[in-house]
Parts: sequence; structure tokens; C-alpha cells
Amino acid sequence: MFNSKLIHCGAFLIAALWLPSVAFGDHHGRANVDDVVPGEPLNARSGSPTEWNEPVHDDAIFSQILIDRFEYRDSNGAPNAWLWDAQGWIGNDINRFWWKSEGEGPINGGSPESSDLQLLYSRLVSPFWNLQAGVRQSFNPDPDRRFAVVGFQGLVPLLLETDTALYLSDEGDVSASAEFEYEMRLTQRLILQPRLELSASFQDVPEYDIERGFNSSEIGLRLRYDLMRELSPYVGVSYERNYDDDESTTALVMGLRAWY
Amino acid sequence: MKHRSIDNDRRRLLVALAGTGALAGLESLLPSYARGETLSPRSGIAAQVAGGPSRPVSLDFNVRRERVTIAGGHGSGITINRSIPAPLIELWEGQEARLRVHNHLDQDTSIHWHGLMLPFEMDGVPGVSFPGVAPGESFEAAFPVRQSGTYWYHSHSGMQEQIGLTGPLVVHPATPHRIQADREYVIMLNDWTFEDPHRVMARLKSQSDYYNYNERTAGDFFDAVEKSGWMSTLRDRLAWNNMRMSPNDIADVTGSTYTYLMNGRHPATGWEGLFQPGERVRLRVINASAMTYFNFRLPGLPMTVVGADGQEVEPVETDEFQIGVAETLDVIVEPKASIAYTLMAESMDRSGYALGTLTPRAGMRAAIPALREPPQRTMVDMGMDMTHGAMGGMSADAMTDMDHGKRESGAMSGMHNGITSGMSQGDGHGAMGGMNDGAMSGMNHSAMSSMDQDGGRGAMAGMAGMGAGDSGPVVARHEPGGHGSGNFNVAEVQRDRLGEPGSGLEAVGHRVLTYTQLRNVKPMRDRRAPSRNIELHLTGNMDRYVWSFDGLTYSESTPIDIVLGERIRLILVNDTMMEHPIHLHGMFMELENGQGDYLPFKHTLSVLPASRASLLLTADEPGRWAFHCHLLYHMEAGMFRVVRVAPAEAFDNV
Repeated sequence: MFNSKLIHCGAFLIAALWLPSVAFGDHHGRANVDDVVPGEPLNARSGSPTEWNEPVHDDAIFSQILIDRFEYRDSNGAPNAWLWDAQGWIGNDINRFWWKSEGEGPINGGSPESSDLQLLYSRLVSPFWNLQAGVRQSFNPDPDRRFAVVGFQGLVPLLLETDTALYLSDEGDVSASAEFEYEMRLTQRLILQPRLELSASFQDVPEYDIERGFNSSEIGLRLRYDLMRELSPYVGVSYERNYDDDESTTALVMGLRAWY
Repeated sequence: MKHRSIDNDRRRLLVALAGTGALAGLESLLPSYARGETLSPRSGIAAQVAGGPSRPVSLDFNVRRERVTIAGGHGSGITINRSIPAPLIELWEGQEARLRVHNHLDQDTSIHWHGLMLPFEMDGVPGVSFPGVAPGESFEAAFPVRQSGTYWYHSHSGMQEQIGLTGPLVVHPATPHRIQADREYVIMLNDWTFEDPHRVMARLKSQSDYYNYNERTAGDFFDAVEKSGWMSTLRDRLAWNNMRMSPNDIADVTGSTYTYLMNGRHPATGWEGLFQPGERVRLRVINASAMTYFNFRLPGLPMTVVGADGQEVEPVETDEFQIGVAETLDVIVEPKASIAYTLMAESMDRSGYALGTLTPRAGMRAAIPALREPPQRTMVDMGMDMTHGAMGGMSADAMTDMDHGKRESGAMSGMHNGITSGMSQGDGHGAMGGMNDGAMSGMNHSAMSSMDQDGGRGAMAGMAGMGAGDSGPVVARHEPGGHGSGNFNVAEVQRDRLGEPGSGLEAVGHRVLTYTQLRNVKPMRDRRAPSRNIELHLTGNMDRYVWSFDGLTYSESTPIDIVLGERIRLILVNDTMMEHPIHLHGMFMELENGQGDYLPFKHTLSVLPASRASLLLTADEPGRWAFHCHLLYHMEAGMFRVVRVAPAEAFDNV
């Protein structure tokens, strides 16, 4: 289609030399002033006709799926287990749909010891902080428990990745959780990551053997290697303490962190 | 069908070159593709400027997506007339240009003629100056050429600029240059990635330091402890971590994905240009990269800068310059000896380089200098106030140690006024001499002693570093307010940094060009006082990878309106800790750099971190003009506005 239109450039050059100048003279190569603000409906951002595309796409939708921990846990004094801890988001820079899921279960089969899924709306409310609100459904051990969730996720000074939330169960009890992660670079690809997780309840919930106060804590130390930024196998240790049962377990962990 | 059009393109290009009458005898200098040896798409451009008699120019540009051999591999890119980079365009001042873009892609395209003054409808910014060129469509930019100099052209659609659609554009002057050259080359610098640029953006949105493989590590920590002691190292780490930033954040996209190209050639092969000893060679250096600032030098060969952003400046001799994205610089070199010279274009973060050779004989090579130590950001870049204890407990000691004593200390801030003008203008070798007694006594002992410990550089180098690299004076303070959640830092104190050589070039031991050295050859035409100031802050949230002006992305903004004929002052305040090359389409701005009535023209200004710069502008080109950061991913993330220039009535009617 174009080829038929194409004019041999050299010939065109020679021809152009002989042709009278095109009349650009009126505005000395400048645009007509009336063209700057056209009469038609205008795009408020660009002042251009509304049917034109935007010059840049800064409101584009991006997404991420992050499997922060997908690991095998070799515990002393407890059955060996597997664990997942994943989250993802989709949205623009400010408003995002965010989901989180965690679960843990025995490696020898059987139903997971715990698992849940949170569906959240997330909004960037300050440069480093997302305000998140939504629902959490627990599947194990108590498949009927639902919670309303409100929390903050972000980066506190000192570069601690932080995820805190308050939960209100459908039975009216209130609990809270907090997670902190720090990344210490040993080399450009070898990263040591201390991690702290706390959960607490604001009242006794005898039905689920939950007592008021701290319910559990977990301290972990994972050493990961970024094969690429998206793919990092790791090894580590985890020390878990359940205050309600007054039990503690130490586990060697081995797993994979991945995102896309 | 396809092959016929390849032949056509090639032949037309050759005919166009032959038509200049300059091809004879120079054939051996041209890349092989231009000699017709291969018809497959490839990288590399004919870099020699042919020149010839003044004439109108009419050219066709066929835009295609195809696989190319580039950067030592094969990738999918966007070619113009089968070439990456796009071919050299030569125009003549006072003549007409008819530049036709034919879109063979399956998506919209566009070409922006970067730095040219033309009717805005021809400016090639889809969504601002025209609707874009749809697949299968053509667009002709027809305009009289009203200027001369070194420019370039590139797509303004999506991310096409990153994957090949950039090319050099030279306009020959109506009256000969004051400094004639025997030979002219364009030196076009690009950063090439085999990744899909949309994937690059997605990765930056997920992890903004994705491409940084020069982060501070535990090893650096213990090195610092050994050098400066536990307390100051801890204080320094705490200070940076407390701000949730990294001093090693120099470039968002680095050599971990980029291959840096010179005239389309990657460093393993390099670009080669021939000269005869004794010839005067004009190098038209164009930074056509998407994200990369370069430090450019020819070891052993001084350069005389004669043009900036295409506009003539008073000659100034230097040994190295940092060139921001989208800027151009014309330099003259006069190699006398019959030896080869390396053209070294090191990326600012020193994660790689583009390479070329100027040589008297084909195949001759010079030594390639090693990449130097990557620079680091400092508290000056953060816009931290270091004089009033706002450092959150950081002492002047800690700050000096923090940056290997390279760049600043609280104790030295008193020196700025006294030395910047004298030292930045002077040559680097004499930097010591430029320091007056007052300045010396302004330095306290702790600053001195930590400089003495600056191993490897020696005291003299350390001093030269301070002189050439010491930060400019504080000229303003930030008003209350932080520009919202789209912005995560403000420059509490704003410095005049036009006299600085650029990040990492403070202590290189030779002369480095600064903005204050640029002096127009023509006196200012419009001497009216500006009727108003337009102050814009360059803002961003690195964590979210959002970039903006005044905390507002393009999609949250409205146009900046300037009355036709108005003389305004544009003040740019960089609240971020990165350089931003800010580009205004369609009009030249006059940089207020202390050159009196001879302010240099700029179409793109690299605004240093935490600095305040001002430009004068006579808004005499009616139109809707794009105004944006020329770092591609910053622009695409929102650092973009539209400037409208029209008679006052036009705005009243809206």
C-alpha cells in the first residue's frame, strides 16, 4: 500500500530543488494561534481533543504476585510441615486490590493446620503506607470464622517492611497481628532476612482456646540467594512460640521466594 | 513485496547520501550496510555528517518491528528504514523539511523532532500535538527549518524509544560555523535492553531497585567501620535507613540489563571514526538513551565545547562532561598525533560504558580506561539541612565519613559561597589555587582530617574533589508541605548546583564541564523582566515508582498556560535525590547560569538533586507543547505536563 505511494527519494530531492517553495510564510513556521485551544470538547489534562489517546499512561494497571515464603519445615518436637505465605495486588499507583494468604500443614498429608485468605482494598495514604481494609476467611482450623480486617502495610523508617492488621471476627472478638521483615544484603544477591511475627487477642475466646494477650510469636532468620530478583531459594531457622499452649518449636526451613 | 521495500529503502538512503556529493572517497568509513553488503536489519549508523550544498529535504521513514542483530545478540526492535538507530537526517537552515513517517507496526507510532522549532502540529507527540500515526497510516511533518545544530529524533509513543526508534538529526547552518571542522561525526549514545520495556516498567513498579546490583552490603558496612569507626558508620546507616533510601541509588535501570551503544555499536566491537592527524574534528554527541546519563571523555585529548543542545556557545575547553538524557553537546577535537583515541562514554552509575575509537587507521585501538568507582548520593542530594542540626543526631563527622569524604561535610557548608564560582569555572588542576584563605579557614579540623584519610586519592586529589565537586550554595528553603503521597522527599535546602560537574565527577583530577561555563555567542534578545515565575517541583515516590511535578502525575494535572509573547521565569526545584533531564518541546529556554546577557539556550536541563535552577522563556511559539522528564520510565510514570502557549483570549474562552 505504501510502496505505491513512495517516491524515489533522490528524484524527489532533485524535484524539490526545482519546485517553488511551499507556502509556509504565513506564520513563519509557527502554528496558527487558533489551533492551540480548539473549540471541541477537550481532555482536561492535555487540552487536546478528547478522542485522542493520552500522551503517557501513568494511570496504567500493574500487578504483582509474591510468594514470600513457600517452604518445608523440619521441626524438632513437631511433625514436619510445609507452609505458604503469599500475597498479590493489582491496581494503579494509589488504589489496589490486595490479597493475602497463609497456610501451614503437616507434610504427611491431612488437612492444613491453618490457612486463610484475605481480600483487601488498599490505598496509598502516605508515601510509604497503604491503608488496607477488607475481609478474611479462615479455612483451617475453623472453617466458619470470618473477620473484617483493617490494617497498615508499608515501610517504616529503618527500612522495616511492616504489615499490621486488626481483625474483628463475626462473633465480635478482636485480635491483631504484626509482621516485620528486614533485608540485610551480604552481597548483591545474598540476602539475610530476619522476620518477626506476632499475634494477639484482645479478649478470651474459649471456643477457640484463645486467651487474651499475646497468642503466638515467630522469629525467623532466612538466608536467600537472588538467582534473579524474582527467584530466590533460601534456607533458614524459625522459632515459634504458642503462648496459649505454652509450646515452642524450632524448625529448619528450606524454601523458595518468587514473584512476578 | 517486503524485499522490494528493503531495496527501496536502502537505495533511497544511498541515493540521498550520494546526492550530497560527499559519499565519494568516504565509502570506506561507512558501516558495511551502507555499502550495500547486507540487506538484513541491523544496528549501526553512518555517523559521518556529509554536509553539502543547502537544499530542501524530503525523506521517508518506514517504521517496522523486526528482529535485529544488536548489542552482541538478536532482539526484536523498532527500525526506521531497516536500521537501529534510525539513520542520520541532515537538514539545512532556511530550507524546508518534509519528513514522512510510514507506520508498518501493529500499533500507533510517532516521531518527535527533538529540539526543532516548528508548528506544534508537526512536533510528533501523540495526544498533545497530533493524534499519532495509526498502523498502516502515514504522517508528513512539513516545516521550514529555522535553526541549525545537533538534534535528534525519536518516537514519543509507548516505549518505542527504548527499543530502537531514535536517530540523529543535524541541521547545517545558513552561515558557516565560526569554528569550521574538517570532519564531523555524530556520536549517538543509547541504552539497549533485550527486555520488553513494559516489563522493565512492571519490574520497577514491583521493586524499584530491581536493576541495582551496587547496593550497600554488609561488607561495605565493615569497610566503613574500619575506616570511620562503629559509631559514625552506624549513624550513617541509620540516617539513610531512617529515610528509607539508599545512597547507592544512582540509576533506576543499569548495566545489569542495558548494553550501552555508541552509534549503534556495542562496546565489544565499538564504533570507529577515522581522522587525519592535524584535522579538526567536530563530534556531535547526542544522548539518545532512555534512562542513562553518560560521562564522556577521550583520554589524552582535550575537547572544546562549541555547542549545547544544538545552540552555539563560546568555546570552552574541557576534559570530560556529563551529558543528561536528551541533551546534545558539540565538541571540537584536534588530534595531532597519528595515534588512536578512545571515546569513553561511561554510564553515570558506572555499571557499563559505550565505546568508540577515533583513529588515523582503520582497526587501530587505544587503551580502554577501567570503569571508575560508582558514585554515591550524599546528604546534599537529599536536600538535608546540615547547618541547623536537622540531621537527626548525625554529626558533621559522620557525614564527612559517609561519602568517603568525597563531597560534603557540615563543616564545609560555610565554604560554598566563597568558592563555587571561582573553582567551578577554573580548571580542575588548579582547583587548589582557586580556594581562598577564607574558604580554607572555614573548614574545621575534623573535615580536614577525614580528607587526609581519604586513601588512594591523596590530599591534593581530595581537595580538588572538594573544589570541583563541592556543592553550590543554598539558595532557597522548601516551603511547608510535602506534595502528597506521590512524593516521598523534599529538598529542605535547595542549592544552586549549576557549577557542579555532576554525580561522580567531583574528584576525577581533570577538567569537567559545568553548566555555568556555557555562554551564548549571541546576546539575549528579549530583555524584558519576566512577568511571573512559574515554580515547579520535581517530585517522586521511588518506593512506588511514581514520578510527577508538584506531586501530581500527568493524569492528575492540567496544562500550564502561558500567554503568547509572555516572558516568564521557570524555576525548577528538584525534591528528589536523582537527576532529572527536564525537556520543553518547541521553545528554547535561557538558563540563568550567571552569564549575564549571554545565557545559553537549552531544550533540556539536567536538574541535579536538591537543586534549584531557573530558566527564562519567551513564549513566542503558539502551541500545545509537551514538558517532561526525559527519563523514559519517569515520563511514562507521570512526570509529564502540557504547556499551552496561546493569546490570553484563547484561555479565557475555555
